[in-house]
Amino acid sequence: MSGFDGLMTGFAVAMQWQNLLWCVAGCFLGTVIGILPGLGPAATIAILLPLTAAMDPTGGIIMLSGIYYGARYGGSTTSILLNMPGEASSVVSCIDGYQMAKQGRAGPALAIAAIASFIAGTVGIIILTFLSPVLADVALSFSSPEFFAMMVLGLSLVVLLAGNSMLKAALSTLVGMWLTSIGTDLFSADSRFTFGLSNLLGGLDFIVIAVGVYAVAEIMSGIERGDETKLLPIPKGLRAYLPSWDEIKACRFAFLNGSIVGFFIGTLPGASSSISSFVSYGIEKAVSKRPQMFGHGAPEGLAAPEGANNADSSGAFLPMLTLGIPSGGATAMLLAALITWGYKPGPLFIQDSPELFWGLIASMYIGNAILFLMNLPLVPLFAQILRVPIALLFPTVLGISVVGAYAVSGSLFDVGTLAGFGMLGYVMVKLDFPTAPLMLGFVLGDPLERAVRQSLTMSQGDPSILISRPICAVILALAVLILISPLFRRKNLRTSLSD
Amino acid sequence: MKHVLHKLCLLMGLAVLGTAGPVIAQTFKPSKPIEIVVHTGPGGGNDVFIRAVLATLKKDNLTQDQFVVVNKSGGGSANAMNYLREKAGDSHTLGVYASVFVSDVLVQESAPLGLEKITPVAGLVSEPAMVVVRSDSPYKTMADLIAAAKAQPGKLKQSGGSVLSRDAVVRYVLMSHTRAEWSFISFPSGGERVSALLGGHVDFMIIEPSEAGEMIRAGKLRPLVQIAENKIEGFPNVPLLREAGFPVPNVPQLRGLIGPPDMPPAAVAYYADLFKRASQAPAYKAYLTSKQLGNEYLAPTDLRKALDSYQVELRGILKGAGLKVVR
Amino acid sequence: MNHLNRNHVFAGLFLLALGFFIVQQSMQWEILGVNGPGVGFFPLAYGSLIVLLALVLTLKSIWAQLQHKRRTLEVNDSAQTDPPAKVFAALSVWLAFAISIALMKVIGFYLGFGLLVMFMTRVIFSRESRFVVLSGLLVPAGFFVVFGLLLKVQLPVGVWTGV
Repeated sequence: MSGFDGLMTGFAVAMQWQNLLWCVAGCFLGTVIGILPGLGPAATIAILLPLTAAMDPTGGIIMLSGIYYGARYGGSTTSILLNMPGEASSVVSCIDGYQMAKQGRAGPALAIAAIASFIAGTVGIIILTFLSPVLADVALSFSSPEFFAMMVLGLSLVVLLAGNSMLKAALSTLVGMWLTSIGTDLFSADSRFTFGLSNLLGGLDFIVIAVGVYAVAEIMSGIERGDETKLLPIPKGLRAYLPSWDEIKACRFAFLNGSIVGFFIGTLPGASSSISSFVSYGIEKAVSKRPQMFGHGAPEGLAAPEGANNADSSGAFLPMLTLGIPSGGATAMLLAALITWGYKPGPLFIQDSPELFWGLIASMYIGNAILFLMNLPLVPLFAQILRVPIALLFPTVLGISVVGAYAVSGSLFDVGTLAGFGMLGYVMVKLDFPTAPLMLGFVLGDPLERAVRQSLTMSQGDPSILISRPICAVILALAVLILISPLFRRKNLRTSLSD
Repeated sequence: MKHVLHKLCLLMGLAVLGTAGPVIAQTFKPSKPIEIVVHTGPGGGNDVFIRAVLATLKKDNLTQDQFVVVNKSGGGSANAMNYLREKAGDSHTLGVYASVFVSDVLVQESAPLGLEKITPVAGLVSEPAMVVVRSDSPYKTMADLIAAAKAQPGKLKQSGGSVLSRDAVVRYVLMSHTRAEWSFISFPSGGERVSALLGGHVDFMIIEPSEAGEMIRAGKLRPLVQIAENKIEGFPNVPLLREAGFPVPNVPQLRGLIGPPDMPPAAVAYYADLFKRASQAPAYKAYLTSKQLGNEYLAPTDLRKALDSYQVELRGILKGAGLKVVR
Repeated sequence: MNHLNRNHVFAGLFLLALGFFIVQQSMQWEILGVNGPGVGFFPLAYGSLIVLLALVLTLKSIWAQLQHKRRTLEVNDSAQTDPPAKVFAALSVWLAFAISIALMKVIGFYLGFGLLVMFMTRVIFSRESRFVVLSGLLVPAGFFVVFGLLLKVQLPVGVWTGV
């Protein structure tokens, strides 16, 4: 069945009223989960699984999938309004999104996030529809050496996230890489830097660090600044809630960038969702004509990662549906759901169950549109959160942070860690150490190390494997380009200033 | 006078019986929802397993008790064991163990709980595995694979989980038996392992039949041998490891239920009985068959023996493989 | 290069110590094994880099301090003009946060969080008693409804209170 025919069949299935209802339910639930840290799509799907066992499978998988990609929409809300990432993939949206809100442009920020998510989600699904088999093979050709190259590319982006002190940025990144190595080593079962604490054997959790360094530290900074009752400038009038035409134009490339980068990285099993948002953000900054605006409220700095994390979830469906391979906890649960209903996810899935496959794909288009329609009008509503008096808002944010940290593994140890990172984030801000490189180092450090060690085992110790394979070479060349790009920029800046 | 004495004796006798009665006939009944601790996050192996099992309990109408799955992931089994340690003496907490619980205790210096403290409740399943290669691979039998490994030590690559996982243990066992050598590449998730194999970056892997079944059916993977005590249904042409000429001890992936230290015996008996009935009930058995899990119920005392002997066996294997064993 | 002050000297020294610690720990592990980098390779690599860069940071900060002292006629260092009271407020919130987390172990989430809410509304934001008590009751109640009832998220349970 060709892509187009399949899609038509799928729409016929997805448009049935009960499937539409399940789609709405899933999207709504997903959005709520995305907003609140402490609840992830994987856990929610796990809880709902027994309830869905008695359901019609098509409606069931449509709803559960809606929860999964819907969560990516919701995550940006708290990132923008409160500097609190609702989900690991929303961390990067805090960087420029929160700055936009601080400048009184919370409404436009939320709207741009919704628009970017919609465009990226749609593009992702289109790619999924028509290019699945081809891309599945491409994704399989990616292994540890290619991963290594990608991680180097990611780390080279630190050059662009550095702000005005490369030294401090480098130190932040390195500390991030240290933090991620805490725990049990996969290859040797040795434990590193655990100080004898069994709680640290599993390592630190990214969301705990992110919420601590961003949200908790921001509260401390806010108290120090003596922010008044109204947290941030409140947009006045409906027009203030919508992005200006200029802002949308600035995001043109970001929409595309987020979609492609996010989708592709999403197809790789083992690539966590935050990687695509970082890479997309970095690429956007690298090609931008006004990189100095990034980190200070550049709309495209929000659009790129927001798009990326949505396209990432579409990409994750690729190995799941074409090969039966999960990309993470949520897709693993979706596969378990399919198996519960008696389906057999795997290479023959599309052949055996075309109505379910195409029905699901079609429902993703619909779900994406539903999410957009749900989220955009809610922008003024969400922005009202800013009206809540700080005296109540700040403690509430701390409370939500606790809930989120505790949900990681049900241990107060993680909540204590959260507090510790809150202090770290505050100190970093006071000393003008950029925090984004810390996150970047943490996210990329472990995959980088793993990729190197896996690659060298594959090549029996021959390091040339890391640069000799064609895809690796291309990506590494890109990384080098990015690393030296600031030199060109400064040159241009100087020549243009001296004119 | 005699009458009164008789009556008195009778009364005293009844009184004694009255107090002894409840002691003899003491049964446990859960008075609140029972927590079942899982060492993975949602979607992980034990998590999916126990949720499905609990669903079959409902289907088979075996119990009205409420169960709540609690995820305590981190450090392999360390976080889950820590939680069980905190719940010592509790009658409403259970944990789902996997073989990694045994290996973790052996190698983790800061392991929160020794196996001897844990209360065994019920062994449930043993999960078999298969050695698979890509369908375009030149190796048609296990003997081919081992011969190739012997010819070029270290050249062949196996993708697997951590160095303590079942795939790694099978590798140690096979390598020491055949004196062949091949390298082991750890990937944290099953998806990555299979992708590495399908993409041609590694030569073979050890995989559970439920994960590989569809790939095999689609002709992408070829199974070489089964790693199990008894033949798995659905793969009649695939020999067992010992049938293929490798009489090594079987390395099962065990799953079952344990309880916190000092769990009251009445509670243990209750749960053991519940799952014993489950092991004979239709929906449960159907689930096990569909996932190709070996239905091997073990009563608490048998489970204790099995865990202890497995620990001894594993200690020997890990030491022989050069890993640092601390207990 | 942006402004470096005395605090950066301390930060540099702290990072230097951290770097040394990482390097020292990584020496205990296998650096280069049969199959390539061992457990200690990467920690050694970034640990050494941290030592190097921290040294640069410390020296640069000391240099900047000396330059500044030579040049300035002012009494106060400009980076230390943050009114201490405000910084103190921020730090006390953190302390209250940390304490409430520790308390949650014994009294559970709702009570611990309620105490935090009351502390913040009273001490930091100087609200009147009625507001403090009401928010101390209603905000945790709101959490209970959203997280406890609707979303059924597990929250810390106190050892004493069982809730």
